Amino acid sequence: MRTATVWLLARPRSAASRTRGRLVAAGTAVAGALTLAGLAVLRVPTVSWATGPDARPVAPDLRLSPLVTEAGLQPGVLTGLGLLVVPALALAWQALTTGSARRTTVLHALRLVGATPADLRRLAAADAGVLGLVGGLLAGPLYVALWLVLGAAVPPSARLLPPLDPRDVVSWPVVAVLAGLVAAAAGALSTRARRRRRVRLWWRLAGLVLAVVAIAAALQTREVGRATSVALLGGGLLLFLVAVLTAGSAWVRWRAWRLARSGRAVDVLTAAGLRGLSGAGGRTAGSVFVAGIALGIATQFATALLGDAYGDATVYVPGVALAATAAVLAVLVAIAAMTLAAADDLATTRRALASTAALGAPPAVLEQVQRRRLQVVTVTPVAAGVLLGTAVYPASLEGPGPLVLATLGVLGVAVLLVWAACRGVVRALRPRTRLAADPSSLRVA
Amino acid sequence: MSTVELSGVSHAYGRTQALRDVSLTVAPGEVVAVTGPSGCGKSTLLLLAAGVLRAQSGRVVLTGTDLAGADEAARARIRRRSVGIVLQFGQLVPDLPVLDNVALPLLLEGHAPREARAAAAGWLDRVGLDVPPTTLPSELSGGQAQLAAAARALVTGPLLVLADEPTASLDTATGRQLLDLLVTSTTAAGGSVVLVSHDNAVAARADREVRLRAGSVVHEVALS
Repeated sequence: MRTATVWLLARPRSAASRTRGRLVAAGTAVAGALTLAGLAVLRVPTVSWATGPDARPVAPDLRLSPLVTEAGLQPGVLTGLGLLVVPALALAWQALTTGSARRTTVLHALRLVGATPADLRRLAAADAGVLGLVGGLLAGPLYVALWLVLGAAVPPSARLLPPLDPRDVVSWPVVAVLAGLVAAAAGALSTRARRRRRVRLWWRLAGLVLAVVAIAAALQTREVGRATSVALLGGGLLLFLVAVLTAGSAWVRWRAWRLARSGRAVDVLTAAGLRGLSGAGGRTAGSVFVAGIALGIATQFATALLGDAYGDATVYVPGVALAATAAVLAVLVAIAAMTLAAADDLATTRRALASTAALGAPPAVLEQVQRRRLQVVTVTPVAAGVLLGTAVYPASLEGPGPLVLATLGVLGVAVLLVWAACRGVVRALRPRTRLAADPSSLRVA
Repeated sequence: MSTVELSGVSHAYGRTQALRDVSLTVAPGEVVAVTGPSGCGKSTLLLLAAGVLRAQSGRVVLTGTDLAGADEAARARIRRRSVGIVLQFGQLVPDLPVLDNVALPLLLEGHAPREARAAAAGWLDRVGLDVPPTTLPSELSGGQAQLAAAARALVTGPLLVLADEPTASLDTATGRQLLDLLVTSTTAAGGSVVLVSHDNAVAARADREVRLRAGSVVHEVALS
């Protein structure tokens, strides 16, 4: 197959493909910028308050927040940055593989005319590789923006990122090329037929328990060194993320089963849609749940800081603000990815949708089904995440009163925002829904 | 050497047995109609003959190559070079304009895009699909998609054309014209055609009729 043919076939043509491409590039850009931030933090020398014969006093860099200069706290920041990379990449992967019904149609049609598995891998790798490279190139400016917010724009004692350095300029193209290569590999991987093996509930629970134990060990152990601390905390949180994301699709299928049993038309149609998109829905539910946990933890710390539990609050504000912003961004990107999957699903199943409309389902019902589908995979997970987040990491507080009030406030706002976002998304998709439900869709192949 | 030969082929989807011990040989230049009620395994037979599905038991030899020993890539290459497939709903690539969809087998084979598109335009003209070349499959009717799929099947000059209900979405006159084109253009070059259909008029166009029921061949008759 010629290079011109690869480009001809890999080039995004439809609006949905272009949106998908933008989302892949955005996810890779965020992951790249956070990687650059992590590399910058790694350059900062740390001070240890450990005592004993081996303790070597080092003068702390007073131009930076203690969060990145203290040996006991820097691993937390590095782990946090590292773990923010994971959802960004997960969402890029979701955008890459979204619209599974449409992808199956395309792959089947290409196989039918004689495309070999290597041809399909080459096409997908070219498509994803270019998007990854674009995302990696965007990571540089995004890192500069991040540096302005977390480094230059705040007082020295609150800065999380060190001054810009020539090494950043060297890291940027390396990260961009790596992003392109990783995306190309992910694209090639996405064409492989997945063998669905059910993961036993016991294994999932064991993974969760192991993750919680690792996180607790990392938080309790003070004198194990930066590398071990980062490995324990990062590994534990990574395991937790994977366990949550894989459990998401099982939860979505269970919700679909419950809805289907109700027998109401809207519920039955919602259940059918959820079953079809259980993979994308599960990842969205998992991402939103994790974002909820981050919001919960940020709420707890913010409450503690406002209550003077940690003395000078300004030092910790950037960390809390970063966590909260990341959580909100994760929710928005998760909803965007789910929207893309829903839009693709609309385009792929428009004949079925038009048939449903022809059977007597008015447009309002079809929109209600879409809204319900989005709300099922976002509202409950974000609420559960916020509640778990406020309970998971006990901060020093005089009494539980302020925390309960703050939690209820954040919970209300988060649920309301997610609920409104789902309504907004369905409204934005209205023209596509109307087009898909139009009788003219009955004649399409 | 036969164009395609299936010997004692069986295939199941989970617990549903689609084909049981089916044997069929199609000679060069022959037109075979496979008929039978819905769900009797006609489409499965077609997909096995094309090497899209791998037979769970039995043997499929396509243009001299035993598909049991061929991996997916090898089967894809044989399909690309020697087989043209027309399915009921066209099965076109959704994001590709109709011209590129028809040119696809040539593009995958390494032909220059200009040359492939010129050949595709010629076949679109011959099947009588008069739409702008940039039209997307979603803008085609079921019948138009079927015509495009027929053009795509014929663009490589295949040794074997496998057509599943090729005229199902077409009016009688257009269906007859398409059938004539599929048969004459393939057999004139020594190729063979396997037609799957419920339509007696389509079956009547064949040299031989093979009737399936519940996954087995129940009747085989030479037609004049």
